[in-house]
Amino acid sequence: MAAEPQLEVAVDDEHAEPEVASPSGGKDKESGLVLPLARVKKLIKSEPDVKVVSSEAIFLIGRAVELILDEMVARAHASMSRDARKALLYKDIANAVQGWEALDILGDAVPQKVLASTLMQQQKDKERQK
Amino acid sequence: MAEAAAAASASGAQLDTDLPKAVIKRIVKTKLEALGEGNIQLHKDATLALAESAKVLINFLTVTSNDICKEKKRQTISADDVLQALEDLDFTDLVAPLQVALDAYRQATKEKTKKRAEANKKRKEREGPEATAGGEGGDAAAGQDQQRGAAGGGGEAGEEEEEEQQQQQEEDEAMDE
Repeated sequence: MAAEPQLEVAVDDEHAEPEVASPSGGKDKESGLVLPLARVKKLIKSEPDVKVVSSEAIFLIGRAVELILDEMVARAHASMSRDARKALLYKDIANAVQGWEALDILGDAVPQKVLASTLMQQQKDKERQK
Repeated sequence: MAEAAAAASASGAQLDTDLPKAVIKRIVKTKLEALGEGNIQLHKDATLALAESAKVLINFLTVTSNDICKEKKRQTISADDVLQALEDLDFTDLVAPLQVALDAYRQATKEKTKKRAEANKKRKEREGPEATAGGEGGDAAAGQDQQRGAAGGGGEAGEEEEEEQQQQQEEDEAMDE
């Protein structure tokens, strides 16, 4: 295996997880959602100003988020491919967020990570210029 | 309670308001397979970033939909409010596929309501009027659903559904005992 300069990232061992074959592909039979509807509803209701939400709206919000995640994965995959890698890293997600204007609303949720050494070097350079 | 939540998330434990990592992984795997890449390793940080993004997106969509709903001087956040929110937030490309998904959801819900009404009817015929005293309310709700569904289209039915579905579930549970 080629030695890649790795950030200290915890790698999830995908093979260790027992994959349960689900005929519906993990989709809820009724709503057709993969995200758990009850959890989505909980998050919606946790907004202070919200009172009544129709079940259709709950479904749509859940489904919209699924579609946005799909697109994020597609863009992250492109970022990964540009680096000729076979593993989807945090930085691929960060790049996907950065390159999609509509995701500006995520704000600081997925920041670009900078190596501490890079920041320290930048600091040193600044001080040298003074 | 806020401290417990902060402590839990600091230790890396999942809050019950978090979306399950397994579900996020499934979404990623499905999409990667659709892209023809089944064997991509998914790093933990990437999963967490997506889970966090999903959470923020849900909240943002909710707030925006709520604002739109209030502007219309309505009480219940509707499917239309959500679709408009997506347009306002620059997710215009999603509106068409979501409309399709919404139509399918409405169809599935109508069928579920119909089945429930039929099941209630059969139970009533079998057991007689006394045993199904609770069922009266259920039938009325189901009947209303059907009428509203036929007359007004999915929008109206969708708004009231949440309360009625809960009532129906409570009645179903009561009757099963």
